[in-house]
Amino acid sequence: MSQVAERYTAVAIALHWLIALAIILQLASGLWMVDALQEQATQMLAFQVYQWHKSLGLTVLILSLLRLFWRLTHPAPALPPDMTPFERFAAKVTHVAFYLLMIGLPLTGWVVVSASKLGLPTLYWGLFEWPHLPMFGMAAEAKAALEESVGQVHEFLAYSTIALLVLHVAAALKHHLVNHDDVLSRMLPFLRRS
Amino acid sequence: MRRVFLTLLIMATATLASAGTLWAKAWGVDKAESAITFSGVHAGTPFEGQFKEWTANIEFDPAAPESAVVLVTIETASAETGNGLYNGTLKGADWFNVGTFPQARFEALGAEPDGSGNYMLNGKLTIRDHTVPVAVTFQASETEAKADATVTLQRLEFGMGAESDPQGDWVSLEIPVTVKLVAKPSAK
Repeated sequence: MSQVAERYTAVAIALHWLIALAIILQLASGLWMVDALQEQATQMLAFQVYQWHKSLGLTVLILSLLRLFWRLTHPAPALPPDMTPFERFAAKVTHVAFYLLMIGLPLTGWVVVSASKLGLPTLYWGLFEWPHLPMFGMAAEAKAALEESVGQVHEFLAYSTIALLVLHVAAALKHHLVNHDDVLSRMLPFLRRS
Repeated sequence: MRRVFLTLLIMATATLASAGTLWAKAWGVDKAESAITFSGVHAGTPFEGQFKEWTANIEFDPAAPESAVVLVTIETASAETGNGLYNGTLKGADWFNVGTFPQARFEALGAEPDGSGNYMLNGKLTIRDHTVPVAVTFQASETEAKADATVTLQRLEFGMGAESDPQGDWVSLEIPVTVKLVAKPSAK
């Protein structure tokens, strides 16, 4: 196998890091804004962060769908041969879970925004109005219940993402520092394999 | 139905106006000098806006102020705040609900003079499906009428934001609306 094939493609690497940066910003803004919205002093800033969080979340959705398509059409490089079956299984589960979260988190956020009684439009980076999901003429109480329950799912998925992120980073560092394999470096941009 | 009624009302007043001295004179609004603006506070931050599209039909004779007719029609979808998020929200079902109520209107019949060139219009303001009495003062001579009146509206009286923000946690319950209007008698 050539050396080039053992790295992720440039597109996969670019999408990985773009989405990684976006996810970290989403987690940080999401954790901050919920409480900040309740405080008089930070209410306006939090309101604006919410709008920004909506645009970035939809960006994650688009990039993740692109990435899923790319992944399905461009196989990832093989895992190091010395990995145990359990490690291979754990890696597989983690990556599948990431795709589910990268797509599921924005979708649940979109549902919350669409069901919100505030009826705020989503102006995608201020460029155009992103549509709300259809609510099929649901009554106000039903919409409120939907907003509440899907909001809780959104929050749960966010905390799941944090847990998965810790696992993912720890595993990548372990591959690099303990196993001394190329699992981390093959996803790093601007690196030439030695 | 409302449109038809409005059109008939406007046609009727226009017809009466063209009858000239029989009825009060028609006045034309100087749009460059006139504006209908509103303001409020959202999340602790003041905002301002104005209606870009509105028309005013004014029949007024200083010699017979009791026969005055003032009809102002405002296109609710033309509310412009300079903030796309606010503009979009204002059009929504819980605010102006522009799909169902495309127009707001102010109607006043008869003006009360105070003897020093000032007049009081006791009119009715209809936004959505709520009508509230509103009084506006203006000054008028034979050649010019001017209003610069601010009326502080309670948005809940019109059912605006009743579902999303009934306590005023986000958007102030009081919305001052300022009508700045300059009108001159239409040329015969």
